[in-house]
Amino acid sequence: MVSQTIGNMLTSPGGFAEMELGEVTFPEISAVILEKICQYFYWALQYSRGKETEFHIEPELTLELMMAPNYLHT
Amino acid sequence: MSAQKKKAFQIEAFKHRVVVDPKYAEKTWKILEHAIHEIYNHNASGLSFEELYRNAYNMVLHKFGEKLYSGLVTTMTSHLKEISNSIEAAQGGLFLDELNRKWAEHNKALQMIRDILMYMDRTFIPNTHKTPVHELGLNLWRDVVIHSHAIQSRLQAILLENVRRERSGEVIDRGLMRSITKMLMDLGPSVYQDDFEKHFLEVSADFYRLESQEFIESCDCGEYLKKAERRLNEEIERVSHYLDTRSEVKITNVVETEMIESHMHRLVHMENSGLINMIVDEKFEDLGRMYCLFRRVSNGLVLIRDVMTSFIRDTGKQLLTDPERLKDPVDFVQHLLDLKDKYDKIITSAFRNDKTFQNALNSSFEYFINLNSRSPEFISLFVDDKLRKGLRGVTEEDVELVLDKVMMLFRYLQEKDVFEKYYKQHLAKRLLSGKSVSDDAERSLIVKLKTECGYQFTSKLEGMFTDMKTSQDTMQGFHASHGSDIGDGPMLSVQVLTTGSWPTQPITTCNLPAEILGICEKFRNYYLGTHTGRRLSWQTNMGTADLKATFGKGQKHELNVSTYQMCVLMLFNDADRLSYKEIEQVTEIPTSDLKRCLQSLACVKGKNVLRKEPMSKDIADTDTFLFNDKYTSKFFKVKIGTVAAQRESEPENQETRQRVEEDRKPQIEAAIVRIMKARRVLDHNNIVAEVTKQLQSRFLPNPVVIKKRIESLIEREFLERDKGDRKLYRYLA
Repeated sequence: MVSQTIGNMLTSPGGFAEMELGEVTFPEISAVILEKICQYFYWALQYSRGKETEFHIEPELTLELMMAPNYLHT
Repeated sequence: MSAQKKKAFQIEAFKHRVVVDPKYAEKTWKILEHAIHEIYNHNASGLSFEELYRNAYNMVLHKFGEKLYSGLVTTMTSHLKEISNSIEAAQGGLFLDELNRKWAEHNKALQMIRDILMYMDRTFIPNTHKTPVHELGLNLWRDVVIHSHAIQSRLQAILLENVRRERSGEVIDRGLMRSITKMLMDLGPSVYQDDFEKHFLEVSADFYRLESQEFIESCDCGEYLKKAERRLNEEIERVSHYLDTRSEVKITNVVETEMIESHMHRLVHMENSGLINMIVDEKFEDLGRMYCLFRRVSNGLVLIRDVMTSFIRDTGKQLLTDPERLKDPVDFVQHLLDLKDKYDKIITSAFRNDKTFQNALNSSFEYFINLNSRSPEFISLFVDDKLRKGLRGVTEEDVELVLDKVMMLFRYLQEKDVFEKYYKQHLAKRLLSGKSVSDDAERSLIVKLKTECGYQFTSKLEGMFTDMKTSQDTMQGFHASHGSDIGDGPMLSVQVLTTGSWPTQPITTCNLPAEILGICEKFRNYYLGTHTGRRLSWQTNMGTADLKATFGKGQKHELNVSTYQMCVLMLFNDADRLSYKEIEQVTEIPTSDLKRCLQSLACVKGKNVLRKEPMSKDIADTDTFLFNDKYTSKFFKVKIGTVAAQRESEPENQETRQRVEEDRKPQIEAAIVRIMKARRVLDHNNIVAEVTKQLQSRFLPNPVVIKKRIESLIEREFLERDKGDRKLYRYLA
């Protein structure tokens, strides 16, 4: 489970809109950050499958890149 | 400075708007409150999870976590109050159903709420040590719904009523019961216990108390046990279907206490159907059931064991003191074996081979077998009977079985030395009369005795076998060298017995007929020729003879008689009529033996080769004997010889007892000396204890006798008394 938040979003009982429409929007997360996060998810998957590479983070992203995971419970 | 343009490290301010709106918290909360409402009203589709999650996140981030939390509590509580009302409104049978449904809904709602409030759960709650959302939801349910006055008592009543209905045979909705009890467990084990289990156990106890009373008045023991077993299984099944597993041991305890423990004694002692009756009638199934049920209850098995033990002891005691039974030793011992078999079977098939029961059985047997001082003699007689004829035609395995059973009885004997004495006597008779059914069986038993008691016990017995073998070889040698001499004379067969190995016999007088004396001398010379330094004496009281007799009408018979009887009969070759006195004078056979031998010759139907005047049953000094011309028998060979070993008469028994006592004295003395030599100094009580321990595999020494032996040893200066303490003894080297 890489992001608890997203996981709950999609599996919470009761049929929230995200599940019904199959679409998740994060209005408060910028595209750059979101993109980086998606890259991270992919990297995490590869890593768990045995491909041990480094995940590179551009220094200017670090601050915001700390907030988002906190939000997403990653 | 490098020509490369470095990317500037920029730190930018938050892209979010810094909130200054004072009503921010209230607005945000309203959104969430609304969402909770919708969730409880099953209207959550269409709501955006992300939005709700973000709102909750923001509240917590901007330090409004407290407001969020208390808002949650209030909202949830009010919803639950509504739910509680609707459950209360449900009628009769629908109550549980409604409760169950609402519970499921609440759980779903709770999960959704927990998911959107996840951020608060992760950060705010641990920091403030508040109850997490999920647990909060359960607690509220518990406090508002389950413990609401109306619902609490009604729930309990309905649950218990359902159980009662099921117990009286009705079918109930087990799935529903399962869900409800699971709900209680989820709310906390103490909820399950206090709201349900406690009362369940109480009510069940009452139920079973009543039912068991009913049953015990109307059923016999076997039926009652069946019913108890059924109820027990029912409860176990009930737990597996819709109660918490930890309730199993508690409810079975209730059933065990009410149905079994309270009525234990009454059941066991029930007239006509209790434990004793079951044993006597060999009701294995009922006994097995009783064992399994009573095992669950403390002291249940102890009760069964004690009652069984005292019954066995009484039966055994009766058997051993019944004069009728004791008349036939072989039959008596067979009864003992049958008794043991019976109880072994009960213990194996009904009591699961329980060791404690085995031990109780063994100790009971040990107890009553030794009540009768004749037991060792009787067991030896039983063996004698088996080895003479009882085991004829029996397979080797079955022979072993019988012998093992005998050994089992032998082990119970306390006076094994008495058994040894009798066994020796009986074995001697068997060997000398050639009456043993199987040499292998004889030897097999000796081996078993050796394994049990050691070499000492059987060395003399083995000596007897050796003598028999050696005598065969001697006879072969004798006939080889003197065969031609014998011609028409009597044929002699001699067994040479080593004095130490065979039972001691008193030396008796007996004048052998002239014809016999001759060949006896020949043998004596032959034997002493090859074995110098030995002394031979004829044991006239132990021999046998085969006589060819011709009667009045010319009918010939071969008579197998004892040596004494041969001497008497040979006299009638020269006279037709002889008085008792005359016979006694010529033969010099001791009186009691002579009378016995004449009795078998003259007073037994079918074997009366002599006639007696007068025709009375007993032999008197004044009787006259005549050769019975008119004797007939359909057999050519007639056995008139000494009969097989018989149980001793009272005086004979006394005599043997005395000899045994005499034999014990040196054994006790040897034990005392052994002990004192090792310990040097020892007090009286300890000597007695040690001596008893050393000798108990042979017999139980009498403390009085031990004391006497000590005194005798003091007189003979093996020991001395301590000058200061009279109870202390010292070994004198």
